Amino acid sequence: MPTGNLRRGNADVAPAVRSRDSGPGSSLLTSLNRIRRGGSAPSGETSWGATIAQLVVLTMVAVVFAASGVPAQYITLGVTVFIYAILASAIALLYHDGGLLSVAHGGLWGIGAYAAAVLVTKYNWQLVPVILAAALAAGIVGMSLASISTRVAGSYFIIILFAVSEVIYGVMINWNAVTNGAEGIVLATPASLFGYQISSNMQWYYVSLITLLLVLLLLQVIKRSQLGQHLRAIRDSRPLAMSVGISVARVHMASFAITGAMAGISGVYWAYLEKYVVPSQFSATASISFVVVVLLGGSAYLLGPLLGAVVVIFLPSLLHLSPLLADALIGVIFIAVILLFPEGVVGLVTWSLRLLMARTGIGRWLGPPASKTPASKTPASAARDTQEAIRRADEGRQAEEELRET
Amino acid sequence: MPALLEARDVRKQYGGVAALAGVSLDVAEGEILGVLGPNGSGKTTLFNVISGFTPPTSGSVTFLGHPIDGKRPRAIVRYGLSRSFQEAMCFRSFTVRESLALVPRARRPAASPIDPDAALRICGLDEVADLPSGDLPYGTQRKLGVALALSTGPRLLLLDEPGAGLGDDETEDLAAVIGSLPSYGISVMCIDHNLPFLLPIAHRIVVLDAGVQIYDGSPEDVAKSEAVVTAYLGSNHE
Repeated sequence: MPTGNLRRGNADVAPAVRSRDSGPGSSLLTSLNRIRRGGSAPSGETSWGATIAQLVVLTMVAVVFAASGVPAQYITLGVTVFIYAILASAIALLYHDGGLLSVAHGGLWGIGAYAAAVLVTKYNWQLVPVILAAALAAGIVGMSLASISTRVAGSYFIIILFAVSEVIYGVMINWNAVTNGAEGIVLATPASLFGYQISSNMQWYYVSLITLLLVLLLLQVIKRSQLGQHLRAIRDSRPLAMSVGISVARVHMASFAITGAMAGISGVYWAYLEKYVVPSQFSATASISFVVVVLLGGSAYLLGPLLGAVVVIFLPSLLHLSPLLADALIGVIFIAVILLFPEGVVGLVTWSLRLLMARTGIGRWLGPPASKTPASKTPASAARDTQEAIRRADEGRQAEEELRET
Repeated sequence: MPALLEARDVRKQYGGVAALAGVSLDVAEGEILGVLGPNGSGKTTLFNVISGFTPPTSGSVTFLGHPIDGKRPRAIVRYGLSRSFQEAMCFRSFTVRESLALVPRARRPAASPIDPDAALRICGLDEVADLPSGDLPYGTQRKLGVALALSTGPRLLLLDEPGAGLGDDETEDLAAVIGSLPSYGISVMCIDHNLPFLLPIAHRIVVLDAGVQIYDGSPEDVAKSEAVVTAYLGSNHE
């Protein structure tokens, strides 16, 4: 009987399994993954208590802001922030939990906006049916994106979705009979909701705020559901997920349909706020600016996309910058955040809070009861321990990523 | 014994290369079948075809009477056939217990005695059950790979080099785990290069070379087969 190891040369190649995960773009993907996971990114599993608390704080800040008598133009900016945040939060679910960076959601947003413009100007629909129709249309087109995500992954997926958003733009600009081509559609009629007229921006402020709160709640429910679990499982390892019987097609179809519907609803509000829809608002550039909002704010956090939207919308206006300078500034901030704080603006805030607590000892009151921590552990040594743990985790992750790249 | 799995003249062509050039084999109920072969002989391709990860170019595969060639992995898992991978893979953002519970109860074959807790126990993962999968040492991740395939409640388990990269103690543990599976009503097809690991637990050995079987028989006689020796070491008379 022969003894010893008969292995020779490299391992067998499993083409069917490997072709999906590797490719020329894998090093770009690795860096993107690093951005998504961040230093010590949370799993996305915030407790319901923390979720509700954050939403209550958001509501209070938003209401106080609106009631404090700020100039009308800030209310308009506020509505824009909520509209952006609805869409960016949907993109963040796909990105953080699904590992899918969608640059086509700006197009789905446009489908929602055009649905509103057409249905209101031509057929005089009420707000609720308009929202349902826009969600359905954008949801169905969104669902079709799963036919791409199940076939290609990584940078190929991003590039093909870029092309899809150009196709959506092309349809908007060429389908004159419905979209009125490059001239666009003016939507000057106020919306009617259960017999009430919604026309002022203050009314839209509250309607879009309530919608944002509902969207954030729904996204949290999805994250905790089997759909959310399976979405993360596919992100972690697609072949392994398939091997335990998870259907990548079904999970991706559901995720794209839901986030597409959210994009459509956000687009309806945009059409009413702008009172004018035109294809150039919904080109691939729009999609990319939403991705910037997501990454800037931090896709791992409940309020990350919202804060990203606040920065992108309010900062240029507060600094009285021309549009060109504003874009340049956002670009510079974006690069700085990605390089220095890959968890986004929210990551920066929590990181500074943690550092502050460790330095001042406030953490002792907020952290676990003092009796449970060893007496010898000073805040400074605890901070060192944390740094050490993060460093070790980083090393492990790097080693693993190098392994994967070979 | 009735055959659990029947593969008949399975072929898989990648362009001009025949990864499988007509493989026919049976796996009987309660059997541990060892699969050997030099690198590139088609072992993993055979697993990919049987488990639905790639459709065969021609030929048929029947499992428990269901034709499964060309079916999706999800459907095949539901019939009670699951697989592990050659590479260490895990659901890094899930704990061991969470990842074993990813398969909904309703989707496991009804008759299976295996649930996530049983998979945890059989593979000796109780102690690490609540750790994140991504933090486990390599050897434990390999065991988790076996446990994940088990958690689907299979009648037939396809293990692709489960012992690769394990230390001696870990290999012994793993051999004991695999050897115990027939007692739960689970048959096994196992690829491995490590003969001292594979031969004692296997009931029968199939050797592949260049996409065809060159041996099908007892573990004791595999080293005496001239075809097998030639496949691995080359022949003198060329």
